[in-house]
Amino acid sequence: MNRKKIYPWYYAAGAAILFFLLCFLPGVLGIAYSFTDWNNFSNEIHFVGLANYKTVFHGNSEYMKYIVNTLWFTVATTVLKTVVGLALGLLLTQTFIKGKNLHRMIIFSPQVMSYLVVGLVFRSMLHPTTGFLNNFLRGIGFGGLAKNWLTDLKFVFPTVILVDTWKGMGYIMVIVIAGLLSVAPEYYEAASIDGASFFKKFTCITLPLLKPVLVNVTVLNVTYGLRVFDMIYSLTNGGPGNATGVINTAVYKEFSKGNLAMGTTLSSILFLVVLSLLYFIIWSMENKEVEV
Amino acid sequence: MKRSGKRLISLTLAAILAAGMTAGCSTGTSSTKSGDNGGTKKNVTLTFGSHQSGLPTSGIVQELAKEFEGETGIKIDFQISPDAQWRDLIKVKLDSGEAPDIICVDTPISLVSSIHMDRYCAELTDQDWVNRMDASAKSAVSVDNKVYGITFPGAKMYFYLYNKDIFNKLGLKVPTTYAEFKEVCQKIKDSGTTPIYEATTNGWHQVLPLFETGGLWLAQDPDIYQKLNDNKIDLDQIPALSAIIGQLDECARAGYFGDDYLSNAWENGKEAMASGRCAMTIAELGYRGQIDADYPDFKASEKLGAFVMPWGDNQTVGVNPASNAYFINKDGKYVEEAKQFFEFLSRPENLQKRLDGQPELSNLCWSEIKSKYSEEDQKFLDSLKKANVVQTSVNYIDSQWMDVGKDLESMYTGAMTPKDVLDSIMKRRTEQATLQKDPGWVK
Amino acid sequence: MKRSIVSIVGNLVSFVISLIVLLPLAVLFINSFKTSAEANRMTLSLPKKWVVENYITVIEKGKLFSSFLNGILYASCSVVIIVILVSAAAFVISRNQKGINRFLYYFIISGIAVPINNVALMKVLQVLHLVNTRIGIILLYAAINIPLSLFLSFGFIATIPREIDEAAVIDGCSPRQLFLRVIVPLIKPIMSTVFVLEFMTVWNDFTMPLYYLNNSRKWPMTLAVYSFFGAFENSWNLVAADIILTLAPVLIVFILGQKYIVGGVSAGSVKG
Repeated sequence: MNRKKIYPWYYAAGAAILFFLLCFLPGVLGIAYSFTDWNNFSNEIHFVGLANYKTVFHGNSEYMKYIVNTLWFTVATTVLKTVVGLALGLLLTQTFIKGKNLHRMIIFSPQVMSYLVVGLVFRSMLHPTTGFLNNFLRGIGFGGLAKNWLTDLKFVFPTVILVDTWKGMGYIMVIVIAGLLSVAPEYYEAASIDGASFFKKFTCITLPLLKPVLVNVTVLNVTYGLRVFDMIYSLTNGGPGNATGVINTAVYKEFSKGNLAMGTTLSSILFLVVLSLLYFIIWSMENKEVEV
Repeated sequence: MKRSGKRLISLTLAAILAAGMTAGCSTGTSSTKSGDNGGTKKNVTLTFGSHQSGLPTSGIVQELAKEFEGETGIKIDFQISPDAQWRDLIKVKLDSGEAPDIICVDTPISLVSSIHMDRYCAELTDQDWVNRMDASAKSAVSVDNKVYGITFPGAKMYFYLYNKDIFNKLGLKVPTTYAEFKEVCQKIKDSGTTPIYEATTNGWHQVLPLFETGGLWLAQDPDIYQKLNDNKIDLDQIPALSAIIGQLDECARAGYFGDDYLSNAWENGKEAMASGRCAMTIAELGYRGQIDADYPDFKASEKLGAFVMPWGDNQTVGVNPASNAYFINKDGKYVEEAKQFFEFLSRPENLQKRLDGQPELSNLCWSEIKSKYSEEDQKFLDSLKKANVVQTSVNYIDSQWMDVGKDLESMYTGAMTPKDVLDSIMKRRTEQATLQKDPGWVK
Repeated sequence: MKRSIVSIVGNLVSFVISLIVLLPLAVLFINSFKTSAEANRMTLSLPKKWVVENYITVIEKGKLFSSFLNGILYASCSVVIIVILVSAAAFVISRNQKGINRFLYYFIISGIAVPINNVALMKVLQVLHLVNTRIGIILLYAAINIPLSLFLSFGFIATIPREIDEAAVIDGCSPRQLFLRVIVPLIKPIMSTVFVLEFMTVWNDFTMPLYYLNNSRKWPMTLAVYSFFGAFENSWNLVAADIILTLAPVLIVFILGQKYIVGGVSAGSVKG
């Protein structure tokens, strides 16, 4: 059969054209600014070649710290969200849980809250003296655990990561549940007859069958983590000081300082990193499929 | 069940879509109509762009606009954007010619580091109301002696407000030097009260001691502001600044700001003062009126006194004529109508309404309107030495205000030393100046 | 015996986690009924007096009715466009992963990483005469959300056995008929998922209208909240009330679509 005829390429043209005009084109035009000295204060723009890129990779050590923070954030949230999402998914597909749908909806609901709201509410709940968390800890006699969650350099980064997990775990859970529901129950029945333990069933049946789902989840989490901005901005604004700054808060800072070219340079570098990672994951996935 | 659920969804969506479409269409047609009759007085809508902190939350400006509409038929459409996006947003819009008719931005506009309103906005020097504004306010909205904007709030002056009851009970007297200030703080702390309410999360409050004490800088050299702008001297040659940064660090470590000032928000300051939890805080005199509005039982106007910030032994109050001002986009369609609106706002009765309708405001920069200061306050203000604050006179300070706030935060957490803070302020000044090809820096 | 212990523990854990997740929402809800002085601290204590007027103030001052309709219009129209374009694109791209299709896939997916540059975007919209128009903002939302939607739906179509297509073609279906009559009914679940997820994304965004619509009558509900923030003073009670009202429609869409989300992502993700 002629695949080209049954599946005419122009079915994809609508999406491609719209995407090209309003997303790709402005994006690429924007990247072009990173080769200039574009700023807020002068109307002239000069071509400066790779000068901005050189500044990022030499000179400023501040950027290195942001890059490390971003990577650390990405790894931590990806692992946490996947583990918690997987655990919740497993829990909320067990038959003995009452009101499964209600639980699922509640745990998914932070996903629909905007970051502005999340930052606002958590800043007040984590306030050291008046916040709910510390009052609760003192109330149950664990006053020693009450910390300065968002201002102590030791705790602020883990706190941000946990809040982000709080917001994102429901999304991952929903995807995992979906994957679990599609595993044919016959596998488990057969395994039960063979006397397999819960753990055995999990490692030998669930995980292998969920692998594609977990890869998808990883793509979503990694691309999110590397480009995180709103969560950090609304919760700590990169503070205290610059302790929780990430690449995109640095981009924002350059823009607000008026150094537009430097802002675009940083975001272009991030774009290239995320893009190559994305292609790498998709490419390696496809190659595996061919092998199978 | 399944069926009906599906039908419900599609029906709801269809209804919503239809509603949305009709709403879209109806407003769509009306706006084209107003475009056609642009010349007549009726059916003109002026767009008014502002950041969230540019308009008072009491809604008084919107009320005045309603009255203006009743009189002339010209509508004002307020477009309020988040503070965080505003600078970038207005720059993008001005450059692309999509800016609103009236724009509200922070003053002064003559500093090189501000948005160049003179490039985009209609000159207003010939308007009748211009000379009724106070001279300092007028200069804040002018570039090269040409007036571009209209501004209302009077000069801001920040003091330490203190709880008289606590001071009396402990037998304390108003400090005039840093040493006395420390002593006062220590005694208050020993009595179990937090001496100072400091709020760092908003980013701006902790920076005030550094640059509101310009009197000390001018005492060192009356031409110091000009010399800084010409890059003849740098900030590390100003002993007062380094001293004050160090003193802030010292007080933070001594616990005079309390235990969790790094999590404090300025919004909670009123409660902290009214409840007597904290004895002092940096605020304007008008802040007492705001506390009165929320906590009438406390009687803030009687109980809170004021003294000049004694950081670095400073005894001169900083006067900040800057605030925000409205400008007219010269490429807008309705420049004349916008001028008419400014004329309306400048009428004495409307100035009075503005002052009355804005609880946090004590006076206007229009001397014909009597300020809200009590006789006692006025006497106190008259008795003080005054000096212009640093950020309205020296380039590249105001633009990095929030960054300095973050540096101070870093200093309080121990990640930076006072010297690092100073270095980082100087570094940012150099960066900004080079970026703008400032002749003092770029030869 | 052991079973019942597991069951009790499991139920307890789910209950506790749900409670933790609900807390912040409860904080917002309670504070939306307080006076502005009381709401300053955003605590979990009950209001001294329930101020229902906050909601009325918010609806009037924030012009919530018309901005609600705007938000619904932008979200639903752009999502409908996304669903139509993406389902057609995902269909041909995943069925024939050769040549130009393969290029198109990688090309569109790159949009997941493309940064938005407002200056460049403004110029493009001006050239296309789309700036300050409702249709422009709808198309813009559609364009920037196409990549992730395509990524989510691509794998799903691959799970539908190709034999179905072959049978249909042998029965004399044209490509159009094959797509509309055979494929569309089969991909309804993933498309409902995309619908709900993108609806949420578009509804929650506030930057695009800020930059590309110059008339506040065209602004959606999410921007209204900024009328309640001031320079030195924020009315948290009104902010909370506004947020509760803004959340409501999205939660309703989620509840209605939940069944499909679970079904949809399930089948889609299995193949990856």
